[in-house]
Amino acid sequence: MAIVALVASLAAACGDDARGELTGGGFAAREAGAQAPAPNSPRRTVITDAVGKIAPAVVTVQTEVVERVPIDPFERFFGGRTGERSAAGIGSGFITRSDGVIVTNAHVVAGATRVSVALRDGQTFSARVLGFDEVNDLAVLKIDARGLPTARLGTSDDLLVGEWAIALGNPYGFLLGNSEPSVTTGVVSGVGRNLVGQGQGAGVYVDMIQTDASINPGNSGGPLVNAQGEVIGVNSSIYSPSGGSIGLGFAIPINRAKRVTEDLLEHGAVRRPWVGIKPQFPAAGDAGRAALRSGVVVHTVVPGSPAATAGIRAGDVLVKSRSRVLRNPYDWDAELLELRAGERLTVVVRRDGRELAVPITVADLPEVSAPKVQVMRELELLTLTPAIRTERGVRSARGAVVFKVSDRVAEELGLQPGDVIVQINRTPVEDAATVEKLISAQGQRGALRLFFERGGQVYSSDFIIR
Amino acid sequence: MAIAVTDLPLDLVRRGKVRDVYSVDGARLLLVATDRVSAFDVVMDEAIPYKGAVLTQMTAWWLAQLEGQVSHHLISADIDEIVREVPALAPQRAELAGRASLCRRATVFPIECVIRGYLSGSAWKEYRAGGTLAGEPLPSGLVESARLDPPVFSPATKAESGHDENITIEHVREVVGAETAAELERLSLLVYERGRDIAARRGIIIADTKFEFGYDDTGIRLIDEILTPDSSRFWPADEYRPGRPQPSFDKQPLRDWLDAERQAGRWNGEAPGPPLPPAIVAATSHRYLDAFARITGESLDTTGLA
Repeated sequence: MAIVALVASLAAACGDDARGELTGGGFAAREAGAQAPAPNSPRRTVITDAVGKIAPAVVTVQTEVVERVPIDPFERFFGGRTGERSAAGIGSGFITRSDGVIVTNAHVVAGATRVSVALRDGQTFSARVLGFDEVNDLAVLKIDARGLPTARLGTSDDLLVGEWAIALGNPYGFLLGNSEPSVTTGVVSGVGRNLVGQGQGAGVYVDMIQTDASINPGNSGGPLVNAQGEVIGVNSSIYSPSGGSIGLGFAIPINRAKRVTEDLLEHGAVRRPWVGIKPQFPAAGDAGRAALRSGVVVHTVVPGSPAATAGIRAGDVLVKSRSRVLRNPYDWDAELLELRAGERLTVVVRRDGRELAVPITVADLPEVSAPKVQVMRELELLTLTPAIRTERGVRSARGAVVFKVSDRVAEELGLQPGDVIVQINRTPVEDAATVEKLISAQGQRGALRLFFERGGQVYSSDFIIR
Repeated sequence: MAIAVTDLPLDLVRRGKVRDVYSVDGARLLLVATDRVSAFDVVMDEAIPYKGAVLTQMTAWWLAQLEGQVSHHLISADIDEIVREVPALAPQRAELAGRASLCRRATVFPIECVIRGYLSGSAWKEYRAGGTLAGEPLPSGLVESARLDPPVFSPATKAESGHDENITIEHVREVVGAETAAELERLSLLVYERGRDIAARRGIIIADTKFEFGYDDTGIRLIDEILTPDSSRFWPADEYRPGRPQPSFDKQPLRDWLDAERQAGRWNGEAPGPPLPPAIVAATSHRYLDAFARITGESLDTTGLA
């Protein structure tokens, strides 16, 4: 039995120093041992049973963020610190594979320089971040271990509003000085919720599970399980304005988490599915509200995108994708989150009073698949293509898109990923390679003025290469 | 919703693997392509969304392209017209939309008119064994899936159950007469070559296909489905590599999955088939729709379709 094997290996690893509760059967003993109530005790409920199943797989995720700070006289004067400042963070996660694959929230590990994972028995491992996906607020960690207890993953496709929802995690475990999971319960209050995040890593969150089980920063990343102890969602504390719980918790549906996890494990990154449809967001007011229930109007089709290849046109109304009925643009956003690059989906569109079944083959987002040009080792650029241009709503026809940028360059030049470099000094930027040439040729002769487009506006930034 | 079986207020003439045929009156039949799917000669329990409509509308599209060149049995595949002609079908409108075709009755020739443009399946077996196809010699040195130019008329018997059996052209002459045999071959080649060219430009190789013909007092008519994925072998042109079997444009995901089930010992290869996972059903549906969209250049019209 896997659990027994684990206990044996843990006991061996911990030697004689293993905690008392770990000996003589470990988790199993704890659930069914002498001190636990008998299986038929009235204190046992569907909740305690579910918790018993999932608890061994719940972990604490601890992070340390080390910020480099400039060494300057003031700093020296005040604290004597020399260039580093660290801050600790905490969250929850759960084990999905016995060899140490752990799912948590992206915001839990965002920016962390060190991540460690504490198992239920207190054993702590240093963890590698295999990948994270900020759009979905999910991250996958790996610890070097074997035979770990895993969480049983359920499905989030057939959730019943009103069914039990049990959130596990380690809220404030650090403060309490133990790594036992804590449990909060409620019901599935709603599904398919779209919201604007207010916590860390804020953004628009679509298609979330809503629950009244308390979800707070500490159990963020932990599992939300059903009455059978199967994971139905990943707790996400994004809508927690006060930092505490307000009876309104959200979780990322497990089916989406499964997909993202698989991508992160297989490719190290989430493949961004690309269809190339820009929906039209209805105007406010009564007409707008009516429009929110009648399908997704296609505003733009990105040239060269899968949607364009499939013959989707501006003005078409998407009414169904796979088995999802599309009532408004948020439904389409939610659908996009579930799609996978390479997936073949069938979309039903309304056009001229007729309904058509359109087969679309989902591709990788062009920015992800496009060749990148590295400039000065700290700036990664890609050439603006018509597809990227339409996809991102860029006004300039030519330029180089900032794909990655080091903290230093970001700070000194004010560049951000997504900015489009359109001109350097007096020379327009044709493509990513031009930037490299211009910088190396003109950078020797003095100051450079960089013009870039962000959010439809053009900004400039002056700098000197040393 | 996918439809596996129909039950119409008409006399059922026959239920095929995929199609249900009803009698409308002495002169007309109603053919309904259901969404049933078969693979390895087993009809699956799950129906494939849109498949029936793809088969019916693709047939209608080909016949429209061939108008004036070959007479055929199709009166209409448009549900409005069909319900106007046969008002009793109005309650089943959603079930029949796209899938049904109203056809003239004809006396069917007991011959499957197979045209092979590529050397595959039983034709490859025959060639490998004796260098012939339909009893006629072919050039030597051909590899599996090689293109045949010109395409070869390779008739077969219509077996009530199991596999059709390849027969010689001589045998066809004995059954239908030399003149009719020559006409069936001419029409088959004409329709196939037309179809092969159109499909090739859109990334689909029609490797071979099967036509059926019938006759009435006006002469020979092309009947049944025309150049559909079910009556033909469709191959993705971009994956064509002679010298081996080719993947199927439409059924490959289904076949691969069934193969894996068989190898894992979960299916013995006989009816009933194993329950198909939704992803396989969706992938197969997508392939049929894709074949339709590529060949006709239009998305399938599913207005009013249940």
